[in-house]
Amino acid sequence: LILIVTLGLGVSLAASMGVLVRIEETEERKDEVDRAASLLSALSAPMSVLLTQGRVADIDNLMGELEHRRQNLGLDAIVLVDAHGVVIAGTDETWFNKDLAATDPFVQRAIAATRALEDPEPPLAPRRVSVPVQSGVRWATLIGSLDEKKLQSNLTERRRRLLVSAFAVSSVGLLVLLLLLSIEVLTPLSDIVRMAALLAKGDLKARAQVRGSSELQVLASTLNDAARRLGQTQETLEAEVARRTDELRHTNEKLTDANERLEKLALTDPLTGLFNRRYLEQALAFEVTRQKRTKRPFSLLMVDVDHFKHYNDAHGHPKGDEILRQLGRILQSTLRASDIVARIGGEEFVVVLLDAELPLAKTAAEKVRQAVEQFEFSEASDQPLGRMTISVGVASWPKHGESADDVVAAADRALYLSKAAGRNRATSAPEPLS
Amino acid sequence: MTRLHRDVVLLCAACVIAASAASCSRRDDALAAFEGGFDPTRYDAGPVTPVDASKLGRALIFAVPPFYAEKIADGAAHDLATYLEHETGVAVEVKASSAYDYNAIVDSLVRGDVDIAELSPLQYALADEHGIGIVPLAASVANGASTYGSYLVAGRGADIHDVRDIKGKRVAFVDPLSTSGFLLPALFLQQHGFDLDKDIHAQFAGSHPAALALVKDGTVDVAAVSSDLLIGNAGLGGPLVVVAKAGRAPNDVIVARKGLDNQIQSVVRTALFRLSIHDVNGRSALRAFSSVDGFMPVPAGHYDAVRVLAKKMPALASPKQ
Repeated sequence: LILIVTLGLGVSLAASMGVLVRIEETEERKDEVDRAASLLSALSAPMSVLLTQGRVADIDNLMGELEHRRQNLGLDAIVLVDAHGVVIAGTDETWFNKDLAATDPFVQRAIAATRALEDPEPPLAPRRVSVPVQSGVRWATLIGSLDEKKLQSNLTERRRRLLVSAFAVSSVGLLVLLLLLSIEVLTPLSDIVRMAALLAKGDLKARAQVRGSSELQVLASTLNDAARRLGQTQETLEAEVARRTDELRHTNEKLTDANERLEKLALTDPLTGLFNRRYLEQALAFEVTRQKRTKRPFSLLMVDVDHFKHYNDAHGHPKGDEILRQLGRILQSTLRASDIVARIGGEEFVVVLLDAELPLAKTAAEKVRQAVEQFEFSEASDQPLGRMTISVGVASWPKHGESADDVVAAADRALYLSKAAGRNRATSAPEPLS
Repeated sequence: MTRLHRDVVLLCAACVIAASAASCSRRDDALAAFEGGFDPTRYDAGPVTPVDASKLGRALIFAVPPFYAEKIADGAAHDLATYLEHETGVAVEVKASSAYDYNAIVDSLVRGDVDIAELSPLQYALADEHGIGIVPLAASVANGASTYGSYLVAGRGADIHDVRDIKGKRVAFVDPLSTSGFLLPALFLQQHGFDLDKDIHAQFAGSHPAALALVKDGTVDVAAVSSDLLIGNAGLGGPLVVVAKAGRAPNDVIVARKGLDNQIQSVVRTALFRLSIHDVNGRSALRAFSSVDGFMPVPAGHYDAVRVLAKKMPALASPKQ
């Protein structure tokens, strides 16, 4: 930018300098011609007096002094010619008596003219001027040749001064322009560029100084506003993302809880907290597969509360439910932690004893029966057997069937046998017929 | 420092240099060099510092040529001495005796008998050639000019209009040592192809007025005389006609002897510059000099033409009369 401005100024300066120098030359030459004409006009008055009196020696003295000082006059030579163009006197005495009109057309015109003449005529650059010497009568003509050397030296001096001043002035002007440019445009612009680069790198806190020309101030302000809004938007977005993430996590947690609860609800008995029939079926299917693969047996206890309807009727369902919950706790506490205890409906429970063959199952069944028999249930004394009891059917896999359903059916049949035999007992399923 | 700042600093430096160059650019005022003019009173000689007259041990002796003896007798010498004493604070004696001539005055300057003297330019050039150390103090201005011319004049009816017309004519010169009365016209004629012995009939009249009288009464056809003689005269339209102008020579010069105290030289120079026919005192003091209007500083090269002439003098041997 600086280069372009400088070059532009340089070219326009050079062009205007060319015009100025030309004008100066014309002016200088015109000045010199005017000065010469003025000098000759001033001389014409005393010359006419001296000529009137025929005082040629006085004229020569005057010319002699002019000759001594011609360097200061701007005239190279002055001659005084008579009406015929013959030299009466001059700064160079050797011209005395020469008939200039015979050889010089300008002298011919000058002696005939009644006014000052220039040779050559404008617009050409004049080199000589003539002034008539007259006081009433035309006495003679003064002709002066311009001091071309002095003129050229003056012109050179003028050009030099013009160039130096123009250079100085334009330099100062350029400096001022550059300073203004720097203050108003370049510095604010570089500031904006720097800010934009920082923005591009992601520094949303970068700000440009609002200064310089009004357009740049507007630009800087707009950029700053944009950066600020971008920053704000980013902050808002980040906060929103954090909030959403938080919400999502929270929702996930709730969902997990709900799922767990749902799963639990789906697989457990809400009253006792024991597994329900669905879980039992899944567990049995799984266990049968597993036990088949590992060739390890398992047994199944089918448990039913004796005369539970009687208790419910006598004490109401809430009390009955309490009996069922209590019974669940007894089953869980009496059996191994690895055993699966499930309530499959009403007052019926099923226990899956893993890795247990029939004898061990029979023992476990008895252990459970005794635990129930011995537990002091609330208000169970009016039960038909005098206390709260259970009947248990025991069956084993693979002894009583290949499938889980077979084993369950066997255990169910054994339970029926216990009921039929008077309740409060554990009965093994009969050996299947081979 | 950024590139921008560096550029600005460099431009600042360039501008300072340019401004310095511009301030150094001074125009030599041509008018300041314009010394002189037509009025000697324009010279500002500055204040006069009184000098110690005892340095000299006697009165300052100012010699003027014998040409002015009559005027001195009239009291002009006294007036000049009074003026100089008043201006310089030194006792001054103006001497002009018919026993003195230019050569005698130069001898007196060399001997130290005379301190200040008026010399013709030729005499000054010859004396200076001999290296006697005389110091030019002031150039005289006469008839409004610092120079005078040499004319070859003829009677109006003599039918002599051009230098070529002089051939074979009777020519009156002034004196073999006269600048305008012989040396300049003789050289001029030689330059125009004249053999002074063969082409003219020459004679010496002894003085300018005498030479002029010879042409007026028809004894000679042409006379070579100083232009001063024709000042105010009807050279044109009168009984005489100027046939040729043989050149110009500087007017007389006032010189100081070698070794004269510098301060005394300075006060005398100043006093001379202040002399002018434009005031009463000046007019009375200037009567001691012939037709002098005043004095001016000696311009550089003012006597060069005469020095050249002095060197050519041997070639201008007196023609047969």
